[in-house]
Amino acid sequence: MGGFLEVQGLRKEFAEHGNLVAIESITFSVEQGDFVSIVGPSGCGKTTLMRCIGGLSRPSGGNIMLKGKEVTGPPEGVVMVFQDYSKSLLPWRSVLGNVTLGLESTGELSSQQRVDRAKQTLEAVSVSGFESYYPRQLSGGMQQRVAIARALAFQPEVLLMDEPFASVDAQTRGELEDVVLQIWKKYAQTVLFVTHDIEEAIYLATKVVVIGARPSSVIDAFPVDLGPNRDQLTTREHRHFLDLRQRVYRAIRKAKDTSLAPQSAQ
Amino acid sequence: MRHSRLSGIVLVIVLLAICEALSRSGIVAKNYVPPVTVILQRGFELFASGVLPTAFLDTFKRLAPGYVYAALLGVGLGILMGSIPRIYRLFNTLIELLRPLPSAAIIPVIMLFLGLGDQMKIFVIAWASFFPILLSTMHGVRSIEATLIDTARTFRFGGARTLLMFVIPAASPQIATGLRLSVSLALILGVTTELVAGENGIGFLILQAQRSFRAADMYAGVVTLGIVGYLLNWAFVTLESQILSWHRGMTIREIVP
Amino acid sequence: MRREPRHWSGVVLVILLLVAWEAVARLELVRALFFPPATAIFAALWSLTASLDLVREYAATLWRAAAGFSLAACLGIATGVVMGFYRPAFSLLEPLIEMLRPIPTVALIPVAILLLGIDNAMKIFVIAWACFFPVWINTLEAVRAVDKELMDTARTFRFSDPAILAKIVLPFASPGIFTGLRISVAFALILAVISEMIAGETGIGRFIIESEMAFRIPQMYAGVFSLAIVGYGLNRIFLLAEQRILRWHYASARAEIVS
Repeated sequence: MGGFLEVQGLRKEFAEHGNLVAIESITFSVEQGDFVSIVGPSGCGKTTLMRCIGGLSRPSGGNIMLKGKEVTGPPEGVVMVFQDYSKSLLPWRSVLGNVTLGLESTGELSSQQRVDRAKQTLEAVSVSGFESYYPRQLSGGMQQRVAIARALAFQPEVLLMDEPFASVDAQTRGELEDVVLQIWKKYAQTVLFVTHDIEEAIYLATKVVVIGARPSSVIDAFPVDLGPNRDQLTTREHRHFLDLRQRVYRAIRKAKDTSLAPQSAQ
Repeated sequence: MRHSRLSGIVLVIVLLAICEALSRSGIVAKNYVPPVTVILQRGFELFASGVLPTAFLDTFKRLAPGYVYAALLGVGLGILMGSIPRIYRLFNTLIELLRPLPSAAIIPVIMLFLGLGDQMKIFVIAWASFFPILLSTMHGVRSIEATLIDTARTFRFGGARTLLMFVIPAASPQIATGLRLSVSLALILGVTTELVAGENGIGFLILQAQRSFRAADMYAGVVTLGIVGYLLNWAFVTLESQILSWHRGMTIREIVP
Repeated sequence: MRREPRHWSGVVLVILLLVAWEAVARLELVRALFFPPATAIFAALWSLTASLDLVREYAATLWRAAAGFSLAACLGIATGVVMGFYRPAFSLLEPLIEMLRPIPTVALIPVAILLLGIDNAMKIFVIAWACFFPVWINTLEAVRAVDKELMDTARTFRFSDPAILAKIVLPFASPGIFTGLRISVAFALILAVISEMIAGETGIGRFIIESEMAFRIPQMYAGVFSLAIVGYGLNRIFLLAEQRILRWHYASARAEIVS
């Protein structure tokens, strides 16, 4: 108890959808500096979980504690990166304008400082040189990098990423995964990363939390001992990686078979 | 996509030539349809003598304030109704009841209260222009992507700044459309009020010309009105495309895959 | 489609406004002549409808509106389809139509009076003019929006042009065409009323103006309100007809998935 981020007995119901119970009870804890992957089948409430942690949704039961304080709204030092980058980036602002966006909310930095910080983070995600472009002129992968840079510029303690690479093609996804790892190593935030891609989840994380189907709960959680240096080719063929992958598959399959959850939503 | 409009322009010229011929030869009575050249000439005369410019100025003296009131009220209320559900629920029923009432139909009613002068006309113009602006603004605000608002929230922007930095820019294409459509409507109502109860203005000029059997003047007025309406619309479209250049077409140029 | 729940606060507001109206009128806070109580207006509306006076006026107005609308609809759809389908037709007709479009229809009323008098011919012309452009442009854009690939596929199957028009273009364009028609219905009504207010002897527009000049003020208000009701009714009827005919287009299920 008393970890950096604690999710305790989280429950979420949706009254307007006929009292749909999306999340039954989720409990796990996160240490500072962890990279936690949250993985589970589609529709299991992973995004709902993230929204609750990010303060964008109120839990129906249980609570979320960050540094000992309950999360009731978007907490300080926490920023979320959304799956749909095209709807999250501001089309009327340039890339640079988008990245400085978050910094404008605190008003602590001067305009020049904001620009400098933005340029730094753009470099960190390898999008230097595109500052004056508009989001619509960039490919999907680049747009998501800009969204990540925008979150980074804010220098959050906790970075929440909700299936950020789901709308990106497979090859780009690999590049972006490595970008995220680099950033994490460099800036040492705590990262919560939601994905339905089991391999991605294991590849990136220091800890994996597996969520079952709706009404969901944690069906498995384990640390990932693959060391800090991950590589798209070698790590994914490592014995330990494959073991963990099997473990996750089995957990999810078992949960599906025994779950009494209603089938796909209407 | 540029394509040749040559045949069309030729058609227009041919039609004008036919009208000219029919009129000059007397096949069509000159006092119903004067020759095109006579209309053009009369048009220049009315312009040079200041009659036409004065008429337009009189019309715009009412158009401008009416439109501006409608725009301010429409955008303001539209933003409020679009972003605050309580306010939407409060006013929506009333708006939906008032909307089907054709704006020209309230002219007799307003005439009762405000007489036949400028005040009545400005009110009618404002009333007519108000609804499209309100509806477009409301629709624009309501159809904002939830993800955009989530972005504002995750960076902890307050309500007012979210409105200013996220909501209004995101809704601006729709707001602009509403503003543009209302200009045409304002012009139409402006002319209508002058036809029903006018003492000056371009609508009144056209009507007076018809009543005094000055056909050439009448046609000249109509044509000039068409030109002015076109220029007004063109001005708005140009302004729109400048300010909203970021919105133009979502064709993505792949820079780096 | 999700039904919007009844907005009680909105209904309450309207009722309160009506009550306020009634109070202001009865207390003569505003000059009584101009501001009859709402109840008096409803009474007038009722008696006018019962005595069939209103019905008679609307008969005149609506038949003109229908005539002008039908004329414009046929012309507008025909021109729109032909211009959308055949590039040469577009090049030929587009400049002419675009030159005529910016002229506000009401400005043509004096012209129409000069050429066609003050009776039905003038009114039907004006109504048809106003209704033409929305129908035309919506048809044009709807036809142009039809997938080129779809038409090419039809051509490889050796369909003749008229067959392509009938089997592919028209069905696909029909939602857009109906939108144009629905917009025009509103225009038809309002132009009928405006032309009646300016000249002529019959119709609801004439009725409203005459009531005002004869100081039958509650009747005038009743006429104006009836226009809102009729306008709304026409729109609903049209929407219903549209949905019936275009059932295939509206059959889109909305799946809300919680994830």
